[in-house]
Amino acid sequence: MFRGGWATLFAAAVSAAGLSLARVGNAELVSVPLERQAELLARVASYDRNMLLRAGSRVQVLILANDADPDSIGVARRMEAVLHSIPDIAGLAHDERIAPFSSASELARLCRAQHIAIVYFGSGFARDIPAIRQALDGADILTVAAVPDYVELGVVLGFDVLSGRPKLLVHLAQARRQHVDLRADLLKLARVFE
Amino acid sequence: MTALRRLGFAALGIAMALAHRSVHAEPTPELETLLDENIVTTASKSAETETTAPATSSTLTAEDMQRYGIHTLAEAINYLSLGAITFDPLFTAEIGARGVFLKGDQGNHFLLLVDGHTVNEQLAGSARFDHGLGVPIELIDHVEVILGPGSVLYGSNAMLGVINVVTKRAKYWNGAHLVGESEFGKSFRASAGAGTTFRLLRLPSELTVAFEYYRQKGPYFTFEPQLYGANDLVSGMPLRTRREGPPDGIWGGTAYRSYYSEVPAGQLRLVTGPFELSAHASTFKRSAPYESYLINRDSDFDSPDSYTIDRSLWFDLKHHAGLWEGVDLDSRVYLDSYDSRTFASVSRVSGCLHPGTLTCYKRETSVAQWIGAEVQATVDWLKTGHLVTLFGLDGRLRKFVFQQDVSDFDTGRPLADSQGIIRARDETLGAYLQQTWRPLRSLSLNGGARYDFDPRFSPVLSPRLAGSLGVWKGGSFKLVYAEAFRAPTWIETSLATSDVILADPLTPERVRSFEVSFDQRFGAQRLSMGAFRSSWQNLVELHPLSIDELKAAQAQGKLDLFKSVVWSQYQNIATIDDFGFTGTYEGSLDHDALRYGLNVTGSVARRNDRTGTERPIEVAPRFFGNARVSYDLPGDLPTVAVAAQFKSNALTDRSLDGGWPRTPIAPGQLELRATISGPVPGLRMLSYRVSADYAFSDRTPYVIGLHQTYYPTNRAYDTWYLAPVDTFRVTGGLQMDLLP
Amino acid sequence: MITILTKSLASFFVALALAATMSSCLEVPIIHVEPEPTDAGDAEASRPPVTDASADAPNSCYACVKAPSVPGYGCGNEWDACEADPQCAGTMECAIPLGCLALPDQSSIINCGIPCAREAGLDVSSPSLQLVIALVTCGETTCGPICRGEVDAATR
Repeated sequence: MFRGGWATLFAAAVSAAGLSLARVGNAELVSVPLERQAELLARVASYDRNMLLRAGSRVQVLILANDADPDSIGVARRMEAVLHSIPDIAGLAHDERIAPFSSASELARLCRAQHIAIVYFGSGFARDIPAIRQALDGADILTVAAVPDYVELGVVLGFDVLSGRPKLLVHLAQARRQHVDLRADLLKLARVFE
Repeated sequence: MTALRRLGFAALGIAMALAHRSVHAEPTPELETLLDENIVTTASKSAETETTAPATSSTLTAEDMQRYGIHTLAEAINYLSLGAITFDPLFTAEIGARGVFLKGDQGNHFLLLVDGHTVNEQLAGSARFDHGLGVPIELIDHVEVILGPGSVLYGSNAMLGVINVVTKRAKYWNGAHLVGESEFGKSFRASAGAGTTFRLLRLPSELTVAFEYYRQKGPYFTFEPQLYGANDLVSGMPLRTRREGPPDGIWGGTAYRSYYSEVPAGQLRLVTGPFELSAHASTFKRSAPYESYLINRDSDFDSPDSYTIDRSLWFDLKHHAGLWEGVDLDSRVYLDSYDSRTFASVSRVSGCLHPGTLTCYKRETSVAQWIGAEVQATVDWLKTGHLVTLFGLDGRLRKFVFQQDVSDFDTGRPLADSQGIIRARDETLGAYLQQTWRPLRSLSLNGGARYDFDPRFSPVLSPRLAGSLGVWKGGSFKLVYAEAFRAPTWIETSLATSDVILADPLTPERVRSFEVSFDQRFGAQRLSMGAFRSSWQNLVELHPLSIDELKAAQAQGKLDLFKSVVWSQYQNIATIDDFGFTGTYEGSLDHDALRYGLNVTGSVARRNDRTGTERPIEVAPRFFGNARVSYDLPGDLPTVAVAAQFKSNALTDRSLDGGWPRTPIAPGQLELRATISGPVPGLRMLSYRVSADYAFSDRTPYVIGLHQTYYPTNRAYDTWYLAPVDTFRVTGGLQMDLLP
Repeated sequence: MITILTKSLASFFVALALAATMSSCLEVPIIHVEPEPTDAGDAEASRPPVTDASADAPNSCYACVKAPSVPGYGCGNEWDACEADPQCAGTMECAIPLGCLALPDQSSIINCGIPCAREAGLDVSSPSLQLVIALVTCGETTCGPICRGEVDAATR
C-alpha cells in the first residue's frame, strides 16, 4: 500500500521515537494556565474567612514538587515565578518557596513549624494525596492543587477548564477539616465535592 | 554627558519605572472577571487566556449551545460566534468569515478540528459544519473559533480561520445519557452516550463514547415552474425533467421525495495514562430538492435517487511525555479514510445522450485516505513559562481516487468509459516553530512560522507575529499579522474531463492579514472591538475559457476540439481585498442568571480577476452578526432564552457570472430562536428543551433550477429563482442522564 | 523501555494493517465500455462514400453537415438555407470549428454558440434564429456522433 520513501521512514521513526524514547509520560495534566491559577488563588483566598487569622501579616505559601517527576519540578518553578508577580494574596503580602516532598507527616510538621497558610501541590502527587489528606486533618491550612483530579482525592481547592472557562473545584468536607471557611457566594461559583 | 544622552537615560529610566510599576502594582482582576475569561488552546497549541492568544477568537460553550437551542456547529457559529457565518443551501452548510465567502468551496478555506484532529478530507479539503460533522451536540464541551490565518501551526486550509470542536471529558459527562429530539414533522434525532472513569493497567483512565442517528425528510418545498423555453435540441421534444410522464419542458412543482438527510455517527475518546485514543465513524447522506450549477446538475426534478453520501472513519492516538524539567514531547499518529459518492439521475435526452436509455445515472466517486504522524516538542527555557519554544513536524502519506461514471438507471449497465480519472499518492511534510515571550506580566509576544512541503508546488512559508499588551485594569490591545495558504486540491490540479481541461501548474492560494483589537473587561462584562485587513492572492477557480483561450489551447495541442471539447480550466485567477471591523459586547448580571451578548461584523470585500474588474463577492453579506439574551428562572423553573442572527442583503451565487441584465440580489435575513429548557419537574434525571425558530426572509442567496444564467435568445430565461428557507420550525427534545 | 518500544511499534503496525484493510474496502474499478458494432445494413448503402478516410477530423463534421439531406445522413437542406442568410452563416461558420456541435448537452451547445451569435449580429427577434435552430437540431442528431468523434466518418 505504501511505497518506500523518506516520509514513510519519517512516520515510522516519529511513532517509534515519540512513544518509546520518551518516558512513559505524564498523565496528570494541568489544564488552567498557571498565571490564571495564581490570580484565582489570590482572589479565592480572600473568600476564606479564616485566612487573615491563619496568615497574620504575611501569607506563607509552600509549593511542593515531586523531585522524581520533571513535570512536577517545572510546574512548581513556574508557579513560584508567577506568584512572585502577584501583588497580594487576600490583600496581604506573601512569600513563597519550593520544597521537595518527602512524606505526609513531614509535610504536616513543616506546615505547623513554619506557619504555612497555603500549600500548593504541583503535579506528580496522585498517589500521595490520600495520605496527605489524613495527615492534614485538623490542620489550619488551605491546600491547592495544580492538577484538577487531586480535589476529588482530598485537596481543598483546584482549578479545571469546563466549556473553555476556568472552573473552581472545592472539596468542602476536607475544607472543614482543615478550618477553611469559604463564603457561600464563592461556593456558588464552584464545583463542590463532599 | 551630552543633553541627548541624559534625555536617553531619563527616558529609559521612566520606561523601566513604568514597567516595574506594571509588573508589581497591577491589581489582580476580580474573581468574576477571571472566571469569565475563556481559556483557549487552538491559537497557539497551548492553554492561554483569550486576551493573550495570538488571534481573535470566540468560544462557544456547551451551556450556551444548550440554552439557545443549538443543534449543529453551523447554528452555533451563526448564533454565538464572532466574525464567521454559515449558509444553508438545503444541502450542506457553506461557511465564510469577515466578509469573505467562496461559493462552492465546501468549507475548504476553514480548518476544522475535532479534539485537535483535522477533519478536512484531503482530496478537496472539504469539511462539514452541519449534522454531517457527525459529533453529537451533547458530547461537545466547547468550540473555539479562531479567526484569521492559522497556517503557522496547522498548514493548509486555515485561511479564514481554525475551528476546534472539543469534546467533553468523562468526569464532566459521567454516567449514561440518552437524547431524543424532533423537529416536528421533519426530523428526529436519537443519541446515546456514556462517560466513565476507571483504572486500566493501573493507570487512571476515562472513556467517553456517543452514538447518534439523525434523519430528516422535508419540508416539502414547492418550486415555481421554470419553463425551458425551447425544445430539447437532441430529441426535438420538450425537455424531460422527470422520469415519469411525458416531457413537458417545465421544471418545478412540489418536491415530496428529494429533500432528506441521514446521519448515523459515533465518536469515542479513551484516555489511559499518557495516551489518548480518539475514533470517529459516520456517514452523511443528503439530497437537495432542486438542481443548480453546483448541486444535482441537470438532474431530474424531485428525484430521491439524486443524492450524495459521505463516509468518514478516523483514528488518532496521542501521547504526552515530560522529558526533562521544562521539556515536553507530544506525539501523535493518525489514520483517516473518507469517501464520497454523488449520484444524479438525468432523464433529459440532451443530458443523457444514450439512445435507448430513459434515464442516465451519473456517479462521481471520491476517495481520500491518509496516515500521518506529528511530533511536537515544547521547551520552557527559563522554566517560568515566560520564554517558550514550540517545534513540530507533521508528515502525511496520502492516497486519492476520483472518477466519473454513467450507467443506465434501469439496468445498471455502464454507458461510457470512466472519465476524470485520478489515481494518485503523495507525501507532505510541515515543520513549524513558535516562540512566545512574556517579558512583562502585561506584555505577551508570539512569533512563528511553518514551512510546508508538497510535491506539487514549491515549499510554502506561513509566518505569524502577534503581541498583546495590557494597558490598564481589564484593558488590553492586540496586534496580529499572519499569513496562510490553501494547497490546490488534487481535483483542481489533475482533473481532465470532456469539459474541463487539465490545469497548468497551480500555486497555492495565499492570504495575508493584519488585525488590531481592543478588549475591555469590567466585572462580568466584556467589550471588544477590532479592525482587520486581508489580501488574498492566487485564488483557484474553474474558469470558463473564452473563444480565444479555446483556440489558443487547441493550437498548442492541449485539446482537440473534435474529440473532446473543453469548457473550463482550474486557474489561479482571482484576488480579494477585504477590510472591516468586528465588535462584541457580552456579560451577565444577577449572579449569571441574566446573560446576554452581541456580535457584529462589517466588511467591504472586493474580488478582482485577470480582467482587472473589481467586483463585490457573491453570497457574502457586508454586515452580519448575532444577539442573545437568556434568564435562569429560580429553582426548578426553566431557562428562557432568545437568540437572533442577522445578515444584510447580498449578491446571489450567480449574480456576476450569470450575465443578467439586472443583478440578482438576495434579501437580508433575520432569524429568531426562542428556547425554553430545564429539568422535568419531579424527575431529576430528565430534562427538556423546546425551541421555536422564525426566519423573516424566505429566500437564500442560491439560484436554483433551469434558469442559472441569462440567455438573450430565450425569453423564458430572463428571471431567476432562489432556494427557499424553511421559515418556521419547532423542535422539542428530552434528555435522560443516568448518573452513577 | 523494551516493553514501551514493543508496544509502540506494535501499535504502529496495527495502524498500518488497519489502513491497508480500509484501503482494500474502497476499491473503485475503472470502467471501460466496449463500443457496440455498427449496423452495416441498408443504411450504409445509402451513404455517399467518404473519399479520404484519413481526412482531417475537423472536416468530418463539416462534411457531414453539408452533405445532402438523404434521410439518416447530412443536413444539406438546412445548410443551404443557412448559407443564404448572413447572420445564420456567420454564426455557424464560427460555431462549428469551435466544436459546439460536439458538446454533450444542450446548455453547453447554447453557451458555446452565443458568442458566435453575438458576433454575427443574431438576436432573439431575428428570423435568422429559426434557421440556426433548424441547422443545429439536424447537426446534433444526424451528425452528432461524427461531430462528437464517437464514430469515424469513414466507417459509418
